[in-house]
Amino acid sequence: MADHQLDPQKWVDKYSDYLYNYTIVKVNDKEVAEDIISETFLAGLKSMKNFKGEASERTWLISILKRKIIDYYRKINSKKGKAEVRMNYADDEEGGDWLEERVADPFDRTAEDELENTELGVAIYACLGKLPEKQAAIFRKKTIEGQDTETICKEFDITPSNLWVIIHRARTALASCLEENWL
Amino acid sequence: MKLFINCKEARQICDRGQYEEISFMEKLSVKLHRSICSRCVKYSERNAKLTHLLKDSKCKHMTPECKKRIREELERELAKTPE
Repeated sequence: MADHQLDPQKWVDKYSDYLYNYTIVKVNDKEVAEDIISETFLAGLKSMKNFKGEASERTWLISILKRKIIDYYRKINSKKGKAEVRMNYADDEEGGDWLEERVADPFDRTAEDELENTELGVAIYACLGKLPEKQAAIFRKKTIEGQDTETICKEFDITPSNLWVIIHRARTALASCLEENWL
Repeated sequence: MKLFINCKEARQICDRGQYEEISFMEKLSVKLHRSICSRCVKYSERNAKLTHLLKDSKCKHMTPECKKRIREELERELAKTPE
């Protein structure tokens, strides 16, 4: 009997946000990322029989996702002329020496910040993945999606004090996990 | 509402404080408690740090519509695949 098993019914709830944060850094386009993740899950379904249970479900999905991201770049690259390198000015009217002008592009700085922050997003979801399912779901709704206490209580049929106990446990676990893996 | 609270209560209020769901009196009672309890000071600092980290990350999540779409796609595929 394998150590790990696949449960595709739960994939979207358990992994979509984690995979999304992972993908968005690499493709930088919301719709492309969504498509890639949907393809990843579908490819996962098709190759379920190849899953040996040696890796965790998440690691296995990430390995499929990585291949999908590579495929995506292959596809867009093959559409371009093979030896063609195009460099456009942001504004075509402008002339000049593009190399020098581009070096200190102020956008680079923000791009880097964003990259780091999205990686933090990956770390957060990785840590969230270690929490019990219900705890993670409630924490996600409350903290990341910013839903009302009342709405969440209704959805899960719990009292506000139940909710705060769950949030407390999730926050404590998350803080330790992030201290280990991020800070 | 009482002014003197224990650690458990202080921490619960501190948690709610991260979501700005506390009253003025609660805020006051936590401040008072923290002035005599160094462990709760530590707890608050750690809690605030986590809140900052979560905010900084601009943690992205997929839209519920997109999740629903993918879930449906998966279910269609699952129905097709013979067990």
